[in-house]
Amino acid sequence: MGNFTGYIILVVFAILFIGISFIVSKKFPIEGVDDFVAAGRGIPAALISASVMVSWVWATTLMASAEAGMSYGISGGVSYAWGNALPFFVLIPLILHIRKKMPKCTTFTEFIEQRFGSTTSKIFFIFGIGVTMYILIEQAVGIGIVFNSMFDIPYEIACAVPIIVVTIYIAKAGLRGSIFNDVIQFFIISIILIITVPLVLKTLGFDGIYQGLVNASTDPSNPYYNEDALNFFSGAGFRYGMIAVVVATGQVLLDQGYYSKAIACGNSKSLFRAYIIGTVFAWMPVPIICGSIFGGATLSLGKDIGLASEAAPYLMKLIYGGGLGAVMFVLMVFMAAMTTGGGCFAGIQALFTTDFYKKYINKTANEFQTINFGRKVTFIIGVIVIIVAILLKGKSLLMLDILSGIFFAAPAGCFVAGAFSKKVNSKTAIASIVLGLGSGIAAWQLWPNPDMNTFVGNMCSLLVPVIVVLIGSFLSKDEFDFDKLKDYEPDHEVKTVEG
Amino acid sequence: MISQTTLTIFFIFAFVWFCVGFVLIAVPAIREIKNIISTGTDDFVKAEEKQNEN
Repeated sequence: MGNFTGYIILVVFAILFIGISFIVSKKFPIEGVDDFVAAGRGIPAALISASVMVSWVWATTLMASAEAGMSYGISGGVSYAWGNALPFFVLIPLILHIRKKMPKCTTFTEFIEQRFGSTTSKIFFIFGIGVTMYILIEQAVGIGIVFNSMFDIPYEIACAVPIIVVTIYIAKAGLRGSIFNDVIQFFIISIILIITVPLVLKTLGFDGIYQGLVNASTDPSNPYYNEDALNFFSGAGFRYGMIAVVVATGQVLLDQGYYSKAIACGNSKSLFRAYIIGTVFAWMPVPIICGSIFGGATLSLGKDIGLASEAAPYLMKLIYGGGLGAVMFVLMVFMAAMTTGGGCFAGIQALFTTDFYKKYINKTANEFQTINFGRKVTFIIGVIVIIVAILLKGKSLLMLDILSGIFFAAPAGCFVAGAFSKKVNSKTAIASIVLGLGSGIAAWQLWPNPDMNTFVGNMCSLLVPVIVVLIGSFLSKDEFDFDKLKDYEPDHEVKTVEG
Repeated sequence: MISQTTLTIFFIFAFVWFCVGFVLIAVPAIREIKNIISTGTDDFVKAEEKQNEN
């Protein structure tokens, strides 16, 4: 049946977060589609910062970065950090630019439709749903693994309950519910990390960790022997970082949740500050801590712990003792999965609410019919995520993440180019996506070196579209008029916002 | 291979970096939540509009 503690955690936090969503929806009644999917475009920057930071702290951030620390040494966490942070330096100017050019835009697919036309928009819609579903499934798998390994709760229950909780609070309170719950989760994750890091360093000692890493890098009989364990610039770590760039590019640029949070911010200056603080100051040190400190510390022990993805929970149990350590680790991963899941559900809800219902199902729908459709879709997506997560029992999180880059990075090139250059047309955009995806899959399947095939596949998926866009733009005589985006009026009422 | 001193500095730097980020978010976030709890919905929206103007 499982350890009682695990069930208590699930029930307590289910009540807490669903309760908060009911309070939020009562204090801030939903007045229309824009209120539901964009929180009325007036959320303070500090809350957006907290929300952005925890949305990017996935179960993978905590567990896969520690796994990377075990696999690559101290460069693992560093590579995870810079690899996953770089796409935000593309996303932030992209969002600010779209916000300025198209003030009443709500979803990135709205922008794509106005920029490239409906065919390209449909392709991006499918990719957007695909990315979000993938992220949700990965969070469900991660949380299922953690509750199962720590508390012996059946994997199926452990991955279903958090998804059900998130589905309920997003359907109830929309993006605002997601953001308010994110703030609570930000405090829980942060406090656990702030307490744990000094404890790890005190318990194992800087000298102990260092000597253990020296042993890992010099003793071939060490189960995790890696001569670059104490090298910040290891080749394997660098390649991992580059794969992380590709993987994160698709995940960031095609996740409507980040655009929704950006749009929810009161003005562009606040938005810029919120995203920089949330990613650079608060998020980037998290994988470094989990990868280099937690992963490195576990590596330094010289013990065979089985799966490298067990590094973080193994260390927590060692530091805190079995019971408390398990609770602390599970809380962190549980919060991380919930926040990421909340952002994804809010994003997918926005896509279906603003870009799908009135276009394809009910052209005369009023705003509340549209919102109700968005709620129903949220529940349907929740059910699908649970089923797929259950079917994926036992698969590695790290490999899932690496393969997602091959599939989802392809649209990035034409998206960014299309936002800033008037020369990119829809034919070029579509060609870049098809060729990028095709070359990425082909390279992954056909590259002779199995240690390099995913790396080459990821690079092709990201870079081939960039080349296609450059050539297409050079050859194109089209020039898009960005000024017409300012007059865009969506199907639902949007408060006038500054650009 | 880096030295123990470098590793120590790196670990402490990563931790301090996180703590700075936490404080940069936590302090204004707590202030905003206190605002929200103490004001009504309309008052909150008006306060937000005033902040956005500033």
